[in-house]
Amino acid sequence: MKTTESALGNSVPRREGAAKLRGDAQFLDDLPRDGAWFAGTVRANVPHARLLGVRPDTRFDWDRVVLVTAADIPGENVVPVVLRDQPSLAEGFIRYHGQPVALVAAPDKETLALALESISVLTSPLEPVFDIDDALAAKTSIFGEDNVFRTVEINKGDANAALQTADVVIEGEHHTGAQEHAYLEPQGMQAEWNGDGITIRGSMQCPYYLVKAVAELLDLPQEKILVIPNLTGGAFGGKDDFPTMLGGHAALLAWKTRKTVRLIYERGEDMRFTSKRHPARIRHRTGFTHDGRLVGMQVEMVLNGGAYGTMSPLVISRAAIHAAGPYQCDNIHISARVVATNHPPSGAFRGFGAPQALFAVDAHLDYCASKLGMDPLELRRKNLIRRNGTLATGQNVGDDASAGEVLERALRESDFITRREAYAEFNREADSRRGADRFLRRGIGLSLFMHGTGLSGYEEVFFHSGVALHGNADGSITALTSQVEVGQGTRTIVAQLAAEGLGVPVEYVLTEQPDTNQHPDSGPMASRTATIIGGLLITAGKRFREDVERRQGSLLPDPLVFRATVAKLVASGERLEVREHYSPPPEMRWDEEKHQGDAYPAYTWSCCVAALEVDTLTGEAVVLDVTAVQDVGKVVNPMFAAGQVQGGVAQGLGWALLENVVWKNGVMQNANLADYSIPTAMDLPPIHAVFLEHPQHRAPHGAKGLGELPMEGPAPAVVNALRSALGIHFRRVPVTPEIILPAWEARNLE
Amino acid sequence: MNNDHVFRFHVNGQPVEMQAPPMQRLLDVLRETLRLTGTKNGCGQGICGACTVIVNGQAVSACLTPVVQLEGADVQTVEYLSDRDCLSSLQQSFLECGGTQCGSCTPGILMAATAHLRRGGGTNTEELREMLSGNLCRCTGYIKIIESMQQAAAAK
Amino acid sequence: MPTNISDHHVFTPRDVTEALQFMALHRDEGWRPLAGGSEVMAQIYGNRAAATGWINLAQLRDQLAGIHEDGTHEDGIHDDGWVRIGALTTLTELRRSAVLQAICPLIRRAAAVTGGVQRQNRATVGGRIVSASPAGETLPVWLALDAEVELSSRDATRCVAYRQFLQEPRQTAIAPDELLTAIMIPIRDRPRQRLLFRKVASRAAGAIGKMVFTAIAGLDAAGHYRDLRLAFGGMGPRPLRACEAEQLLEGHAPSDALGAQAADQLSAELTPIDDLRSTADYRLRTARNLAGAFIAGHIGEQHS
Ligand code: FES
Ligand code: FES
Repeated sequence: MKTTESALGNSVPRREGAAKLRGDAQFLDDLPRDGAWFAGTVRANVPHARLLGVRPDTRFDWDRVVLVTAADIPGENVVPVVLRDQPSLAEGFIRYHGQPVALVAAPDKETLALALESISVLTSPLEPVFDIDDALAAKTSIFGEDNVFRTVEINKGDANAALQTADVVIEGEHHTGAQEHAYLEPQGMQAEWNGDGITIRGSMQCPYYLVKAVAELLDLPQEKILVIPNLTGGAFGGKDDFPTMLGGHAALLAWKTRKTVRLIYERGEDMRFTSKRHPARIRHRTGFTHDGRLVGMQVEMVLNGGAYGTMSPLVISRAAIHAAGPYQCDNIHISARVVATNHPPSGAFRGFGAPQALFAVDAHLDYCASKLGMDPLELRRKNLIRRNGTLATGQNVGDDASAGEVLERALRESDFITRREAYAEFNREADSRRGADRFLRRGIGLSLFMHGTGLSGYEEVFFHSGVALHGNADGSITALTSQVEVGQGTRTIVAQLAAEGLGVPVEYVLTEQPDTNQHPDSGPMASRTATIIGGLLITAGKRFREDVERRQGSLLPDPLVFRATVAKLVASGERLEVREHYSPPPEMRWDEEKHQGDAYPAYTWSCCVAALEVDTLTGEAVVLDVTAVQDVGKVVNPMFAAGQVQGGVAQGLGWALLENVVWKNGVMQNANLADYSIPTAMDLPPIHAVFLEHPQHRAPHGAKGLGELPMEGPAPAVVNALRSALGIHFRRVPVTPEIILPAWEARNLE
Repeated sequence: MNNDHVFRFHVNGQPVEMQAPPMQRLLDVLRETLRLTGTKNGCGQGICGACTVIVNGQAVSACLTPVVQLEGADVQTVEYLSDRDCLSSLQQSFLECGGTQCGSCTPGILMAATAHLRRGGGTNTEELREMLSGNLCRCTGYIKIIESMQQAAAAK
Repeated sequence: MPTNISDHHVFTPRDVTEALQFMALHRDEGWRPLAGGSEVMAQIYGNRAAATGWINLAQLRDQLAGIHEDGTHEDGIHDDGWVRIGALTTLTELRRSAVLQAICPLIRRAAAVTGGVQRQNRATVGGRIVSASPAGETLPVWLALDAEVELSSRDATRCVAYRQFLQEPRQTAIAPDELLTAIMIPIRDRPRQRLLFRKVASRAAGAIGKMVFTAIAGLDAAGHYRDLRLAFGGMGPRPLRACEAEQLLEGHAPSDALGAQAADQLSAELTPIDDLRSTADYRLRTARNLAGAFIAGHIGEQHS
């Protein structure tokens, strides 16, 4: 008799991989056009203004196209994300340059282009505010009374008192820049009027957001809205909340034209007007004993949310929870605010606020080590969270505490100590060398961090994520979730997890791109598929097997027999279906108001080491190699896991060194893929991904989140490596040569 | 005013004769006229490489190639690489090594890689990094793309 | 997206003579040559095209592509001692040319960092010269090599020093009925040289440079600079030679002090600007540092 080996831990090839490689995988714009109209957006060309109206040029024949403004919206003019402050189409006010004011659909591209040129937006300007301090001073009013979307405060012990009595108090202020997602497939949606409802297809992460949003916008019941995501060409959070607006726009046009309408952004439009990572300013005041034990941490963080709230209230929560890093300190005060400015709205981006917070705390810690005259490794070893340690929220991590282990492993894997000494020697001897080498300086640095798995606090409960399995006539089993394939391998991973629960080979499990009629809402996408959804799938799989065995009246360990039994039962008219819904582990406690308690069911712990070389003639830093060690609980698919880490590290290195959004009056000036420089193959080093697997007890299979984590390590590791190379502490990412070179030259003058 | 001309060239071995405005880009000819949607539009500005196809043996950006310059040319797109359901060895390596994630960059990378390997280009990591520098990928960090190419080259 | 791609007209001459005839007849109608198309197509599809009439040079490759060592001009204007690079030679062909590699490795360096493979396969030497982008990678190399450009019209062919050819930003001395047919590189007998090419950009490939610096230094038997050329891109509205610095340093031996002198002279001579790619301050610092290190003798490769 054959039994099934575990489906977990194998590099099962990507299910839709062959289609992608053949070129016949269909992304939105690859669907047959079938008469779909072309759509475009009329945008505000000032950052802040009273909106007086739009003026269509009467020389254009407007009967050739369909125009939609806020006045046409049958339901509520809102993009319902968290705060409901953002209109689908501007009404009354313009809050950012590029804000959608009207929509046009036309039968062909040329007519569309002409129509868009023939309409002007009439405004009366208001004072814009781009800077967070100006926004906080409420120089101009954008949101509420104080321009603050949300404030999160976290208190543990008494940070104030601790800092007053600390032997040493060290302050530092760090800044992080906006980051563009730069998914290779631009945003796009297609909406189709089908007589009494709307079908929406497109590039997105969260189909269920759209169902609710479009129903509200069009004043239709949710059953009339069907959302079918296409394969999505990269997302990284950029297709989390933004498609809620874009899908609404396509739907409005389909509703008014009673046709199929396709709305796809061009690259420049996508880069200028869709959301970015929140820029941040983070101040630390940190108290130590003389021998380097952390006694108090005060963190004051402000994120620039842009013109509307979008995901900001949730981003600020995650940012705050991660603000003290993986360090044990009994007295912590964290104050985190996200403020409104006249930039395009910031939104979800891989890491979701944590990268900003973790950059600041880990760059600051290296700086503190130098002030204390300590080795940064020693400082970390002394203060990192251990078994039964408590995080800023007071959460006791129990035995989910691998900070020390990932640190030591990363030191070994990267040969850190030896290389640090060799580089110091190399730098000391620089002036005595001949040739170009005399201008090079080398350094190695690391960062230690963690990322909470799943959504923060009660958000998981709120989403009440569900999955379903049902048996098919051929004995295969279909796994239904609303998790969209955006490149992370969801379809394959879902099949692996369901197969694990079912105890069948992975080929027996079918997965498909979800649609909102067939597939249960399994909540938003983040690095939670493997854990939260995975846990549900495994439980559902076990229940499914039990159900089949009960009906059959015997155990069915042989997968072939199991399959035959499923087929037989389905053929005899029995309905084999199991649904599972998430409920948090019963011992989890969370106080949203105070941000106290068990913020996440588990944490992924990681250490990232970066070595780099700086050419002091130009200030250019070349990363030599990166080692990323993480305890992910259980690796579901090693090939995908390594791919996630390598891609995440690449994105993190881009954020750290290259990706600089140049703003002018609230408009991105370098909105193309050449001047906004995401890394090319020549910019990236070897990336060594190492996985530890300490299962966490709160998921049936032990896996913790992985997707977001790897982007969080590089920025602090790079800044710490720069300190090791140049002896200078940099407080800002991206740390471009324009920052490095003057700092180096100023240092040489001293 | 209709300014279309008639153009004749080959796409994936098949003769094509079509009327088009002379400055129409090959990208639109492929995707819209011929419905070969494997070739992607990632930027339309010759930067991302998602539209890479092979013209007369050389990798070029279809978004920067006007149809008027294709008279008599031999164009190959990603659809040419596999024989029905049977993946080419390069494609098979990408599948086995994890060289594709979201897949938007993949067709362009496969075509750039095919042109490079066909002309006997070097396959050490440095050479492949340079060869890939006209193709942006946001998902993979390029490492598994390079491994995929090396595996395919070694199998030859 | 262009409002209407059908507005664009194309004339495809079969040979150079026909092209020049056409240009003479239609000299005031705004027709522009279309070489590899990379620049022109990006402009058309970015809605910033300078013309709607295009003379497609695709069929002139037989006549206008290629690298010839004897370099005698068809009209007999030039003697031996020149390398002739046809205007339709692609950057890929520049990179692969053994002849050019032997004469001056800088050409290959510059071509190799101009966009990715896809662009190098299409972009032409002539197209890059005519579009005259201030940070065009190959352009400072032509300047440093004292290259000349060959301009042909129906009635005449003339050669112009490339330095004179560059005029206002993105403009050149080419007349509306003239076609750039070749660039000519003088071969001079220089026993010892030190060379440098550096492009400083926001990433390692596929970005327009913040600044480009190239240098050719002849060294005489005593080890003194002879025939020094320092050329920059991105340091002003067009690629330029730092003539005053060249004169100041000529005849001196490399040293740290001389490097410092070079840097200071460049501060006086160069006036870069702030733009979305970098700042004036950063550009000047890198120019000073790279040129200073080169003049001091620390960086650059020997070539003979
Ligand atoms: S679409 Fe052609 S290079 Fe990006
Ligand atoms: S696989 Fe997504 S961009 Fe390369």
